[in-house]
Amino acid sequence: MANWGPMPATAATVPTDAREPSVADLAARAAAGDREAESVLCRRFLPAVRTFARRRLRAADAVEEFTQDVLLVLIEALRRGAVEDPPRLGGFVLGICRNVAHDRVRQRERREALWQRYGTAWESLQDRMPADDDVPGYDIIHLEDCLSRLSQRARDVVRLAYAEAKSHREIAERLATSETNARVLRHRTLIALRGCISERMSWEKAAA
Amino acid sequence: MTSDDAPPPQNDGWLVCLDDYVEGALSGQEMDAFEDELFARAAGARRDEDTAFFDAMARNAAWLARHAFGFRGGSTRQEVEALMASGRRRVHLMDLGAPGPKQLSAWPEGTQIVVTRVGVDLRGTTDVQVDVSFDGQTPIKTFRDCEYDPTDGALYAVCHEPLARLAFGQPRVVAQVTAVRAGQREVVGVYDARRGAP
Repeated sequence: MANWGPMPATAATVPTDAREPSVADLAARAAAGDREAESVLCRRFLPAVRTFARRRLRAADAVEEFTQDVLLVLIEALRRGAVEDPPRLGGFVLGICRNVAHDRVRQRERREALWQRYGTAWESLQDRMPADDDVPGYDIIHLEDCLSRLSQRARDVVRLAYAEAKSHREIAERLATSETNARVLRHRTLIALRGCISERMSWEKAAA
Repeated sequence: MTSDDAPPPQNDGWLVCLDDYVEGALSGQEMDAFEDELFARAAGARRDEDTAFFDAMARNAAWLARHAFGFRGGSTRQEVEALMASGRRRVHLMDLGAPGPKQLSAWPEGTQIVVTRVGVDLRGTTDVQVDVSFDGQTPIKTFRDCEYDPTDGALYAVCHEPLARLAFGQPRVVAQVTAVRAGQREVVGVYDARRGAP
């Protein structure tokens, strides 16, 4: 039957107050058994941890696995009350990242045990990408809309840089340009995309 | 770089740093300092919007690349036929035919991908773009560098159903196709589509 209804709202469509509880407060609450605070705290670090991982790992699956490793260790530390200086939690999480990166083999074994004990906590973060048969969320559709407004060259940069994780050098070769130009094009495209993503979709603005 | 909770961290410099970091363009010392700042921002009073954007964009771009999005301004008929024949996605082909007034009918429930065929002949042209409005006057969006099928000259626009719903769910959609032929931009066709039963 006809399907002209509006898209379902997602968290990304709802403006949120950028100011949230401090990590020190969240850490204290998490240590006291507040699972919601623990979840909020973990979410706060997800982008940074993934960025750290992306620097070292190319494959999207490997980035996700690394992120899981780090967050599982963090959840364990929070529940053990092992975060001694909550205001410095950022450095604490960075330390976890570096340790995980330094010894993946040892971590791989430990991961299995942690997964058994704390896997459900990770599952509850619900930060997965849509499965093949799922309807893509607002964020994905928004990016698709923004990409269609870019030039073909800029779309190529996004595909090569972020979907295929190519280096400046590889992108330069594919686009028949210099490495310096590839880097500039990549940065300009990134900034243009952020500008587009920070606004509502063109269709929504016009229909409002 | 400094870690400071007070100002919102959204600025081009930080975004560029994120990209250079992931790309491996920072020296060892710069990388250490960047990582300290990255996690200091994550622990800051405000959400690090730039890092959140960068992270989401990278994940979503990778997802799109795996799900029928070609990062191109259109597909070929052969590619569309292959997508439909694969059976991996529920694809609806909406053929708008030749330019002119159109009556749009809704696609079946459960459609995942909507392919819109724009039946113009763009062979021999370059720099194809499609300007869209809801009233024929106020521009909403321009699709740039559109790619047409080399055999029939038509446009095959492939997009995920929720995006197609936003675009075609409006009471009226006017699309003007222009292209450059012999150095001059010309209007190739105008579609004035209205929503309703066929």
